[in-house]
Amino acid sequence: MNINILTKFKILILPVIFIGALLIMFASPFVVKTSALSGSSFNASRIIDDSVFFDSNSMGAQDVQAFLSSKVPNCDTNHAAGGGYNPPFTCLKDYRQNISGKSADAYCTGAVGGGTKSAAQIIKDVSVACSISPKVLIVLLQKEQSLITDTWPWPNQYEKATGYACSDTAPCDPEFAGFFNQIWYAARQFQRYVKQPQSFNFAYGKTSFVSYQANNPGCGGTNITIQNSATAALYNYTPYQPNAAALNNLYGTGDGCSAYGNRNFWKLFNLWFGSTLTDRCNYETPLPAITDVKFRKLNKDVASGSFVIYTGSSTNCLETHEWNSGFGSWQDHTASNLPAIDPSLGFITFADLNGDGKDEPIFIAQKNTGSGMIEFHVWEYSMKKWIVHAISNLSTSSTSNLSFYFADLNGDKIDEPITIGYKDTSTGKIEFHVWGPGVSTWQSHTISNLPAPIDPMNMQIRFADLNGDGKDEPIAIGLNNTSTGKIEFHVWNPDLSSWKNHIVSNSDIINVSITDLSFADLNGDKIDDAVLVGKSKTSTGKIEFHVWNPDLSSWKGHYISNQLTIQ
Amino acid sequence: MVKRKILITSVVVVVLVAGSIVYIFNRNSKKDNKIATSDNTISIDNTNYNPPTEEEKQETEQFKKEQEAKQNANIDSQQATSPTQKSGIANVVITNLQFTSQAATASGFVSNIFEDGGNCTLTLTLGNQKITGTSKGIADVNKTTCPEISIPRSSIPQSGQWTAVLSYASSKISGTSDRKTIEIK
Repeated sequence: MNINILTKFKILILPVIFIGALLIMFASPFVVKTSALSGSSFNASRIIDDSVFFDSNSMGAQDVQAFLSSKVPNCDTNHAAGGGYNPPFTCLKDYRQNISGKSADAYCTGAVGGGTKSAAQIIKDVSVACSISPKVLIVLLQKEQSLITDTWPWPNQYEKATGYACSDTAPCDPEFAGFFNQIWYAARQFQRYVKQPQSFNFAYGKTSFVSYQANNPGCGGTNITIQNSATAALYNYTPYQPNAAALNNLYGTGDGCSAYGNRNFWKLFNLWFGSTLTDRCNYETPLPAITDVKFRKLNKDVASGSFVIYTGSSTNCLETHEWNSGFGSWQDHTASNLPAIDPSLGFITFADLNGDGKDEPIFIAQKNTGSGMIEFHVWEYSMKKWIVHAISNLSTSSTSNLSFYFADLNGDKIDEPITIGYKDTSTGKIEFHVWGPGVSTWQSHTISNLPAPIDPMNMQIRFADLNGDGKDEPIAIGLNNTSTGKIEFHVWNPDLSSWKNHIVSNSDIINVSITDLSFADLNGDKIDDAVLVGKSKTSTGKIEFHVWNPDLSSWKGHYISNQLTIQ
Repeated sequence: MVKRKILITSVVVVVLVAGSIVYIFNRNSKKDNKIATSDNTISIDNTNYNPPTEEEKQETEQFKKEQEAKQNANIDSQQATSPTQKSGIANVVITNLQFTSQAATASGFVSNIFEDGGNCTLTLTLGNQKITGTSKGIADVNKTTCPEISIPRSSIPQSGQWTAVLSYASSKISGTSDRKTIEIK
């Protein structure tokens, strides 16, 4: 072939390769900063589930390395001498060891190859050989020797990294010393507990006495029926349970009868890797994903975006996942006690029912309820327990003409439940009906000046505090088919009979089936921000948030989240 | 002629490139944008890649201080006593004690030694009567486990509320657990 043509061919091909590379999209890992964990969630009979404990695929070697690096951003290599050791100190993320490896045996059914390996690789190789989750080994290293977060670890911390063969009254047995040996023997021992339950004290299904404290039998303990092999393995390794004092001060010390090994294992695992339990709700067939985006005051007086998974979650429960500000990372994940549900039967919303500045999660059941009435079910924070079940005075047959909201109309910091008749009203107008707190009686009925019906594809109603006076204004929002071709905000006066103002925004009209408009105070300045949420079919393929300035005529910010669109 | 060939080749390449771009875009818009596993569910990685919290840092420093204090205490005690001299008292804990129709069984551990081969003994006492059973201790992480000891019902002379203790003895250490009661029927 003519060289000139080949050259010209290459010139044309290179941009294609470059464009192709740009078009490839990878899901990025999602970072979570978990919310405050409570010792009341600790279940002594089920500390961790088998499927979590034995999942050797839960992290790759690179994930382990990234995790180790994240926990020691700066290694204090030249820290002053301490513990009888001089600098330089080597942090776990940089640690390497020349190991001879181990053959497979009855407990670790895979072999570990020899060679010079990083700590991350050793952790991964042992996890695979012994079928133990790398997360378990990571937490074990922290629980025993604080090796994960230590910025200047001593050599002896590596020598006895998992505490194996180290009793309280004698030096560690040198036969088992060294980082690799410590990890391998610990992992192997976990499997030994599973495979030889008759030789050890604790086993799945067995009721055994578990002490509170090693050094003081007078501290007592309780009988525990152990619910799975992984929990039995933890107790066999560390045969103590945390007492109430240790659980009540989860981030500190308890009393003279407290032991912290299994408490700290559980705490660390939850804080670093999420729940130790794989709760699945009782719903047999995973359905295709149905999701939504809401806003929730997770922290006092500041709203966070909440990604709601109605169906298709990995737990088969209704789940919520809250973003950090900026929508680039997660701050909270919750799998509720409610099995996956189609939102046409019931939906989740968030409202401040007690004036503490935080929203309670509320499930509004609008079809197929046992009572035949619309029901309000309020969760406590973790969404694992219900705290209120309220049967309203509205039949489920009326839901086709109604929409439901919560808003603080009177500025008492408590959101009132409201239903709006948007079609087939007796007055031919949009009607506002405000419930009393128990949703069984009405507080007020107001006929607005806006003719009914309104088509939700074109106009929707929202409530928002636009001026920071502590009261929500009702707003009719033209989202499509407006005369201006722009999104229009029509703010009512409190009497709903007249308009306070009309604002033509800077945004083109939207398709409400793929874009939502919400109000939320994202920055705690007491003014609700208007937000367009691109929920599906966005140009980036990710859920997008476009936040207006209070004038609704200019943008405060555009945020591409870390979450791929679903539908 | 050559220029014509170049022109045709260029047109073909442009068409191929344009077609590829259209294909890739269509594939992206049609593809299932879920973060899906094979069973059509959504999984979200919960790993916390944030830097350590202040609490975690303080806990680590506290641990190091405790380690230093322990090491100093060990150095002091080694200087004060001969290395071969140990406390000699085994701290024995009963974890399981039960009676079935077939046997009385017990297991436990010795919290303050890690060794194989020591003798674990279950002793049942009622009045002047004493029955024993044994098992061999197993070195287990940082302790010695006493595997289950079983005393057959046929070896127990009578029913009643018997006292049970688990004791341990090796060349280095010996001791006895607290007393517990067991109903033999």
